[in-house]
Amino acid sequence: MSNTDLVLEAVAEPNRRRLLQLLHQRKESTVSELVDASGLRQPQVSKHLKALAGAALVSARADGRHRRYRLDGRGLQAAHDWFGSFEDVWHARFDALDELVSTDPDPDRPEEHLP
Amino acid sequence: MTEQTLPPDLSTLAARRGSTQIELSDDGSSYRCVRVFGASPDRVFRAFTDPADLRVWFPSGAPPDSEMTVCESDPVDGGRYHYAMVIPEHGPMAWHGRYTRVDRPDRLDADEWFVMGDADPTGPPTAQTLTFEPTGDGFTRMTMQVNMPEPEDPETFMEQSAAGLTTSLTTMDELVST
Repeated sequence: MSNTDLVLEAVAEPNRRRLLQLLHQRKESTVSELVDASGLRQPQVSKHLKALAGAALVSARADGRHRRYRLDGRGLQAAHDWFGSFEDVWHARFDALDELVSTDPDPDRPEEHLP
Repeated sequence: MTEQTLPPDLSTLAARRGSTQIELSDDGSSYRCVRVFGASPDRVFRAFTDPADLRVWFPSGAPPDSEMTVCESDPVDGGRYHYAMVIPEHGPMAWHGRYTRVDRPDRLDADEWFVMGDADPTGPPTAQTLTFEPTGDGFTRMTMQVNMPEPEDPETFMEQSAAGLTTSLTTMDELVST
């Protein structure tokens, strides 16, 4: 599974996106803080964080007895690049459409109709 | 409709390449594309609705060896369209649409359901409005407004990949830029 696949699979789950949003707002959080903020149960939060960490969407550091989680730019960049590719598709499509209509402005063939 | 003079830098095909402007709404529930095309509104309208034309431009930007397997369009009020492509590594995907308003050559509205795989379309559609304005120079300014049904609807997140553009790009942009 490529890194992009890992990232997309990770962010396809709504609670994980919720956790990403919370980490974005809070900059850094422990599991218990995320439990309180999200309303999810602790085992769920831990499971989701593991998936997000596996996709490099979050990273953790030890702080005394706690682990503090924060967003990781590597996975986010992969997701951003993937979604950004849809913008590239529109650019490519419209460039091709423009080439079609501007070089074939008044085709004399009849318009195709469905049966 | 206002007639506007084209900036000189959009008068050639080469200059217009890559000039599509794409704006996401703040709440991620819609996006708008604006692009000038080098032909009349009637010609551009036709390119958006004629299957022979669609087969030329719609697959652009897809990965190499992608294939457009279905391209049907019946541009009348209530008419349907159906495009399908097979993309290497992603498999089949399809766009099912229903034209909800057809004002040739000024405006074209449609509801659209995008599905990955061979599934039937389900759930609320995206609502699209295309407008075609003459620029006064014989060209056309096209505006495509796409309104997403439920920007936070999680279940279809992965499947609405085009839809994912709006919700996710906004979120990701915010996340990566801070």
